[in-house]
Amino acid sequence: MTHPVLTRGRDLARRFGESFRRRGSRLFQARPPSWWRRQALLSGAGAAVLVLALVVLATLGGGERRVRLESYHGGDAPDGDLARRAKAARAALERQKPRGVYVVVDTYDGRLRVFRGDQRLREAVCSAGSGGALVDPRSGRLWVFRTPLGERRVQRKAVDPVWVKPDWAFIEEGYAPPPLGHRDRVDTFSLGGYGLYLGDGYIIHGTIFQTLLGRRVTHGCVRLGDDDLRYVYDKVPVGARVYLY
Amino acid sequence: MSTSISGWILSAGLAAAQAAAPAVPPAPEVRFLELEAEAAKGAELYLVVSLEPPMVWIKSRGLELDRVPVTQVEVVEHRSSIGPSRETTALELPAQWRVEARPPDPTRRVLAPPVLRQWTGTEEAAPVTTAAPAPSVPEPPDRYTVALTGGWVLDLGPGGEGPSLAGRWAQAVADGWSVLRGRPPARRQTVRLELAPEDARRLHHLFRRGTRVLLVGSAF
Repeated sequence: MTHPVLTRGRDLARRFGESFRRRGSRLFQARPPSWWRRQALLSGAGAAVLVLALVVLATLGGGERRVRLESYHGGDAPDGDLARRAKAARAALERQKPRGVYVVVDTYDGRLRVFRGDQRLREAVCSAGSGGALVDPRSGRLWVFRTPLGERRVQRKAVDPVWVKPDWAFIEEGYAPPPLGHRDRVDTFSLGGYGLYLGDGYIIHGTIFQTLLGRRVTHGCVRLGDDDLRYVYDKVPVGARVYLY
Repeated sequence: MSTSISGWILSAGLAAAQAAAPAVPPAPEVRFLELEAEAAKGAELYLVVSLEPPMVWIKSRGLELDRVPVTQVEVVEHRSSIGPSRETTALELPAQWRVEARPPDPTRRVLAPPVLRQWTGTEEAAPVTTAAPAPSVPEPPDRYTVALTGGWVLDLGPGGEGPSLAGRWAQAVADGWSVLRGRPPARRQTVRLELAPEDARRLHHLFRRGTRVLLVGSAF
């Protein structure tokens, strides 16, 4: 049992649809199909030209203008206040600067420099992180081999450091890594004669690939030649600051 | 007579005291010192860009690690022809931003072995050699942009020709899309550093997420 209003509505809709189809059909039949195709192509091309013109106008209409630069005016601070603030800031900066021997590593040019104050004690060729990446095909885990930037400290030093190979060292060679604690993870020769540990697994160490010194080829550690490494080991104490940039 | 002599001595003493007192630093310098003191509290690197001399200073803990010369420093705002026009805001110096995202590095090498062989332990016996193959080191790009906080962009590279026609076209499309969605075109203000290609490459790896960038009028 349908409500009479609904029945009437459906009837009206059906009649309207039939009428629309008849008229549309007559309109289509009045022109050959090729005419309609041409009209469609012309309309499409016109719309495309219009959009393109708008975009070109917008592109050419855009521009640049110099930003007005204003100096910080310091509000209504009296001169005495400015002097006090400057003194406090300078003192704070001075407190942050390193005392004693420190190391600066230029990871881009591959240079390690040892300083005491403003005096440069030694400059050595080194290698730093390649910036490359490695993907574990089993898990999708990603390693990015960058040398950390900023300030670190020498946390400890070691003679004949031992490298416990992480997973990436095997995956990079195309091997599934052996279980943790496996004896093949222990490498007693790759790090050279000395190691200065900077935390998070980053070390200043030696290398068996002397010919690559000066190039960005490491997995994040800093490699040095034998003589320079011995000097750095002797001269740089535990706790010394290392600046990497 | 004695009064005039004592007066002269007094005024001379006052003048000497004035000369001995440290000059009051200008407010922008004080502000910069405060910003740098704040940046130096952390162990991270920070970069100071100065307009005069045009230079990028690489610093950490207040220590100058290196400096890179810049040919020109420009601060510009991109004007969109679509959407409502806006007044250019003034930039107060010294200014400070943080890097929002690392610049793209299309040359980065990604190693992805398709399958892994079973470790047999045979590698252990491999002879140690110092004649390592010399891998080619990919160079970072010499032209790139770095997204900074507050909608600012750092544009580094040789030549100061500004955005290319293709870039402007893409921007016009993006602006149009923004307007269609009922939003004003995004504000894009750029600090453009014109520098030698090698210097641009040298700076590329320093822009890591969170790195502070300070812009100052002159290096104090």
